[in-house]
Amino acid sequence: MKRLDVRGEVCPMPVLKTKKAMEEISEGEILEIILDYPPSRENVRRFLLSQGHEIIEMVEEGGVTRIKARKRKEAS
Amino acid sequence: MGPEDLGKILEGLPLPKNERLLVGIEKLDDAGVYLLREDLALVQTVDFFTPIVDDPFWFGQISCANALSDVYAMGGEPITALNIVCFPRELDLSVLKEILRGGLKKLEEAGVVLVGGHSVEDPEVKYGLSVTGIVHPQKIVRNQGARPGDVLVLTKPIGTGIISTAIKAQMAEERTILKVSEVMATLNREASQVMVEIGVNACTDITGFGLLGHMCEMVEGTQVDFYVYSSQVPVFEEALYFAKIGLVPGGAYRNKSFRSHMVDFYGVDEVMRDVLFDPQTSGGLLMAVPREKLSSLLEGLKKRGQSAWVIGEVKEGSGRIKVFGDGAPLP
Repeated sequence: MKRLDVRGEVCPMPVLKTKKAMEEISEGEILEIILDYPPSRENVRRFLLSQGHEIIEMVEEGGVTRIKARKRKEAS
Repeated sequence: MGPEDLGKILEGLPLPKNERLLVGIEKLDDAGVYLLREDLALVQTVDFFTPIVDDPFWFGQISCANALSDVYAMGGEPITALNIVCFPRELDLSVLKEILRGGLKKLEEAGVVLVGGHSVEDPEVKYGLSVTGIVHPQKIVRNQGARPGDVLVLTKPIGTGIISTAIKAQMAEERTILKVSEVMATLNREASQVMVEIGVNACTDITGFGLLGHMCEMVEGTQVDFYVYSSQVPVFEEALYFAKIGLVPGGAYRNKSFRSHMVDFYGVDEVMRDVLFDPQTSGGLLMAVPREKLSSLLEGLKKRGQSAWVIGEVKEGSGRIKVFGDGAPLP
């Protein structure tokens, strides 16, 4: 599982880096995103869903959010 | 800063009380107004921020149009301005020259004289102006004053904050950037002049608190409600797309959480709610105009080449905003 830590970064960087990281992993692979800027929580969630990726887990603890997302498989 | 933090800071401070201060900061109006003599008052405002577009000439124009707008929103006429500049040592000075050239272009268009300025070294570029204007004390247009039966008219589309976020993410196309830059650099001057000629009950310019945030200021503590029809609200279509893919600025979420308790949504989806709270740069004027004057206002704006959209109406109420989506039943 690849991990992307964007703690300390604000919009739009977490979304931008999530986009790039998703482009770099293979279909079906899982990316874990760690962020702490509250607006980015909703933005990253929205980005992942709008691109058809699957959110497997989203947990928040002590102001830090961890999102696990599976890259979508291209329709064949 | 967000409206919540701003409120906390001002609370408890010994704010000035002076009988000549006609509009102070307590109502968060667009600009301060100070009475000079019976038929003349001074309008003062200041605004500056970091680049929202990469092109320095456009940035200068947009920041200047934005600073002047607060005077226009009060129904005033800006007359002089001072530049405010923060600029990093390592950046080429030609960039700053272009920013200032942009500002001067807009000042000339507005008939405003630049009388000076101040610059400091700073790691991040910032530009804006302090603007001084005049207004007849009887003709000040305030945020509050909307009456039941008034119609709400907006003069620019919204969504520039979301598009600025997309620009920062390098996801906006050149033609989109150009389109929003032109709108943001458009002066609210003509719209303001028409507004003063026709006479409206209230006005504000739409900036950092977003359309709904500024509407909340217009109704807070009053006996009216604003009814907003979201399908009538002009929105840059790119903003809707960018909001859907998560390019909403933090300010939109802050505006929403601060004001949500004053707003009722009927059939409005999450993305559109964010757009309605999106912080704007150099947004349009939002006016509450008596229904019988609506056609002359719209005609006047059209004659002067100004856009205008009727986005809602004012009814008796308790200081709330009601936003209706497509096909939502009226309560």
